[in-house]
Amino acid sequence: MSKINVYSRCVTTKINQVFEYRTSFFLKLFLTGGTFFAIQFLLWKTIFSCSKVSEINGYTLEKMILYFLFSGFIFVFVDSNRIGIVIGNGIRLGELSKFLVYPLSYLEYNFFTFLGGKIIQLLTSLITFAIVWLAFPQVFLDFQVSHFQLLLFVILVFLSLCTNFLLDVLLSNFSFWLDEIWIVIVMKTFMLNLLSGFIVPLDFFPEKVFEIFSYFPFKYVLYFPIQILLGKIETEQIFFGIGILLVWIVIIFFLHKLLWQKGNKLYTGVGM
Amino acid sequence: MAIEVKNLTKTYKSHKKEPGFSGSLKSLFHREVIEKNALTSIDFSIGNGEFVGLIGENGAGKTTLIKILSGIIFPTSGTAEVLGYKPWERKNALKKQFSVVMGQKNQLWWDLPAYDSFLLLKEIYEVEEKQFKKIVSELSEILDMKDKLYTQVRKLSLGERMKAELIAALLHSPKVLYLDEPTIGLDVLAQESIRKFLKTYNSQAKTTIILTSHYMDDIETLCKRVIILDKGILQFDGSLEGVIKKYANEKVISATLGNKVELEKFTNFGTILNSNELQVEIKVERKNSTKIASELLNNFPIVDITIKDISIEEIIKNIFRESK
Ligand SMILES: Nc1ncnc2c1ncn2[C@@H]1O[C@H](COP(=O)(O)OP(=O)(O)O)[C@@H](O)[C@H]1O
Ligand SMILES: [Mg+2]
Repeated sequence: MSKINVYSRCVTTKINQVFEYRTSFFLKLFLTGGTFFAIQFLLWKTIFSCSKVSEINGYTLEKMILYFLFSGFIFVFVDSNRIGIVIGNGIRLGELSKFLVYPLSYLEYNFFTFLGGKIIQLLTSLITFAIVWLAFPQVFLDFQVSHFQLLLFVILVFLSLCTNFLLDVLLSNFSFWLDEIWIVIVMKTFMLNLLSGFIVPLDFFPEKVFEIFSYFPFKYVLYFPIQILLGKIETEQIFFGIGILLVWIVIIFFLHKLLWQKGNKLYTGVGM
Repeated sequence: MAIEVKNLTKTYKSHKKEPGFSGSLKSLFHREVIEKNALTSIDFSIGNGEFVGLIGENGAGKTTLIKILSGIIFPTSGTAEVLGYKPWERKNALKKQFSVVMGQKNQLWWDLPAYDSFLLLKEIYEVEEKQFKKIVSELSEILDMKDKLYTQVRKLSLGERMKAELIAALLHSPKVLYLDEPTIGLDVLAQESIRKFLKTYNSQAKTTIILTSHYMDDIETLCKRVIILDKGILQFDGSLEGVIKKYANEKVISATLGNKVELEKFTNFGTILNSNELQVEIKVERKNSTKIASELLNNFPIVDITIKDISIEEIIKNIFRESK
């Protein structure tokens, strides 16, 4: 239980650091979430007005806007911020050395400092969300979710944040062997963007493919939580999603352990 | 014994990494291994509370030894025990009892005041509140850092940053402390104050300390015992006086003259190191030094004469020169 103290201190230290750099931090945040939403908004508005249909794949324009609005808010929270590159550089440049002597694992340290940044991003995201809601209440007419589903939604989003983080950590281990890992991380980001529903809703994919997605974690990072907010998901399905994520977290965690242990034998602590 | 090292050998095996991503991928399957011997069969042990200087030229293996003793890297063969633990097993029980400070690396958060990092370390090492406050206030008092703890680390001078790093390393009252070039790049004043601090700290806290430094002044004022590494081989382990006895085959006689004398005449006695009008310094063989001194007194108009050992710096340089 004494670990609570060190975890919360990791979180608050990171928050303090974020506030040292607030301008660049918030700017980046709005740029990532905001730009993407603006592009999607204009794109779908044009598609709907040109094709003169009122529904595409069951999405009305309002639903589509809502989809990408939710997508922007959730994405800002579950995004791994490419932490894998930061951790990988630490391994490559010998920064890891100082963490190896701490009586706290590198994984714990990274996770809780990462969480510190995320808490700030979540708060910003929520505030923006509230402002948008107040400004455009008509968009949210369809937004009706039970409290219980909302609770499950929170758990699911937290787990998908963990999954996304762990995936980056897993890939960062390649730095023990390779000089350049950014390409691996970028590939992961690309996969995630495509398979999570960040670019188009996943129900635009053929049904067979869509079914396969249910067994991979990516879907649960964005598409699935958005569907919960859109009121399209049964409660049992949410439990299923949470289960899938838990299984993946365990798998990724053990893969990470394996690579970490093997990699550490090769670590030479350069530059110290 | 605080530290025991037996037959310790480290060979760095690095894989030749090719540039670019395709090069990286290729090297996953086919790798050229480059081997580099950094330490060869090192043996020594260090008792509790000792302050040992580790010297050697660049690339001698000093940092490698410290990395192994901190558990950062694994040895190739042989063994080492710190406070009864093998460091590379990375047991928390050991980690809570040692600290390492590296001149070229910092553990403090760059954008935050040092005090924020201290608070984090306090939790990482589970230091009690009272103890933490006491240590921070005592150490920052001695190091004259009281009003610097709330300034962002990146705004501190190099010397102040190193002092903050030292406080950070001592928050959990480590029993063993490794200092790898802690004074590198600092101005003389900062060097001196850190030196003074380490001296009192070692004598009061009874911490076992290994110090590597380029500055022989650091070693001379702090360490009774030195370990000399040369290309990964332990050359000498013993007292500083021992180094002088073993390697200083020469002494320096300096004489002040009453009136001018032709310098040539001194070359019969030894090599002239320094000279100006009425002052001359000659290097002579150690065993003949007193005899030569008296001969000089008899033959020259000398008003003052002293015999001293050549400087430790000079001796060390000689050792490395010989081994080349
Ligand atoms: N990470 C590393 N990978 C490969 N070789 C290394 C590494 N670190 C040091 N070496 C080599 O090992 C030898 C000892 O280095 P080091 O322990 O850093 O010496 P010192 O600290 O005494 O200057 C040097 O020849 C150096 O080139
Ligand atoms: Mg070194």
